[in-house]
Amino acid sequence: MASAGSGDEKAAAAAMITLISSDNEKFEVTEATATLSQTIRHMIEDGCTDGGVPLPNVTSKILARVIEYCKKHATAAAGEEGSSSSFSDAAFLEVDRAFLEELEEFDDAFLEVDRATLFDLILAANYLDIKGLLNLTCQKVADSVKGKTPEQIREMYNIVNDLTPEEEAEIRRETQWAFE
Amino acid sequence: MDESGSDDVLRLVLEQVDSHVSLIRAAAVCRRWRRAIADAAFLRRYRSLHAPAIAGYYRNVKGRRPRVSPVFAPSSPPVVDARHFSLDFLPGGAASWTIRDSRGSLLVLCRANCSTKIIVCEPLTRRYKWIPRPTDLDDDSFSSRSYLIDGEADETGGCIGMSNFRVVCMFNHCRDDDTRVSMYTLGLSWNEKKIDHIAPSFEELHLMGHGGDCWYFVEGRALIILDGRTGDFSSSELPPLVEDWDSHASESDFFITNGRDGKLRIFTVFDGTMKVFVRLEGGEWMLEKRVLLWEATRGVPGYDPSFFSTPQIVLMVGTGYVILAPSEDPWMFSINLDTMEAAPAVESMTSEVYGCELPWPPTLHACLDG
Repeated sequence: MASAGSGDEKAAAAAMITLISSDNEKFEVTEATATLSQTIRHMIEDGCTDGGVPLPNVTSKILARVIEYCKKHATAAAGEEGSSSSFSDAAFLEVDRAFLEELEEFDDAFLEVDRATLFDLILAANYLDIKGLLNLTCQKVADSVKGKTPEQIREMYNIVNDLTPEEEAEIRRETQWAFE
Repeated sequence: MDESGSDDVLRLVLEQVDSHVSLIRAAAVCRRWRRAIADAAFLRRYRSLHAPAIAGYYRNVKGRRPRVSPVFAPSSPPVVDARHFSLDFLPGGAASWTIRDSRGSLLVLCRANCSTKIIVCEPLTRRYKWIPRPTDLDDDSFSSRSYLIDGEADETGGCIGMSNFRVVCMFNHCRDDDTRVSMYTLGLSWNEKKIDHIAPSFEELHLMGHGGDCWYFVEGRALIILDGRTGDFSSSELPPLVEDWDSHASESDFFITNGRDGKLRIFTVFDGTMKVFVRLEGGEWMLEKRVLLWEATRGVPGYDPSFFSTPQIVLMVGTGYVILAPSEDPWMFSINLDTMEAAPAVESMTSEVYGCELPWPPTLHACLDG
């Protein structure tokens, strides 16, 4: 971001983009917020965002949450840029740290959703290509699998067991040590 | 996740399961999950994201009998129940074997009473393979050292397992000093190893220790390195680390280990002084620390200044620490190579530890069709 602060980019940062959810609700966001999504960034670069960006895979409920995440993290990214030029200033580092802590708290609170919403967020983050949000949500699910038995995982996520008892026994025999 | 998630999302979630054992359990949830996990590309990526899990450590421990036998201690907290690491499946039982080296999930052992009987085993899957004796080896030969070396990487990124390993062995002859070094490749046979022009032969090879993926030896003024990934030897000339190197120093007085910071360190113990040299980025060695042992150990219980009228013997070198003892007294202490502080040491700290990882790739063969 060596060229940060040039007149053009400042103008671009203030530009607004309209996102349209699958249920036709319109959301006005800054370009800085929208471009956390690589998918939207590419659309902007290709100049095809006039008249709004339709997102047929994302409902308004989920899009609102995604935008909430992007707004917070876009501010964080802007904050990092601002402080990088004065990294020697201890006061700035202090502010940075406080901000990172706040961001972590935000993320934790953000993940306090039911399982269905969590999966919708994963799908939206995947479709919109928002790396941070995708990692955050996938990690939450991955952590919930840790230390569980196959049966507990199936119950947690309503997964139908399509393995016969014989097949399950065979699978366990293969890596007996992992199941005891 | 059953019907809504695409396979891409499932993979993204599964690759963040940061426990090897949990991943194997997840592979028993349903066919779709199993296929996603057993996929070679997935396993390769998983391996690149998650360091292999160390399940525990083996040591050769002196038993009631006059010989040593391998003992396992699990990592804390335990990754897998320790009973799965029993070596009772080895021919003749665990007690007739001595561990020589470990790498990945494998151990190389030799028969306590016949060092040319060599076996490679994977404790967790209770499998072993005999390493055939080189056909042209003299009857009066014995093997002094054996090291496990990576095999060719498979499609999941696994470099060492029961289907891809190599072993470097040093064979000596009872009557002369000749050391022959050969590498056995699984599925192939023995190949004699050479070093290079700086150290053309393997005579009088002294082990200095190991660090990272390499073992270090010294012969005269040459530092000889065995690379555990390739099985290749290379050498470089050591700078004079002590004054009067040629008259004063004996090769067996030099040791090498990784510091806790991962940097390689050589240390020597002469005249009651321990010196630590660190290898700099450019490859040169620099004196980093020195300590008078009789001074540093004053606070260790049982201390007696008379212990330092005889030379100090290095009993064990670990990562970032060393265990020493006066040559004629039943007392021992450890020196932390970061702080150079002394602490009490006990007998159980003096045997080499052999880390054992979980097998990679995990065995996931059943129920992958349909």
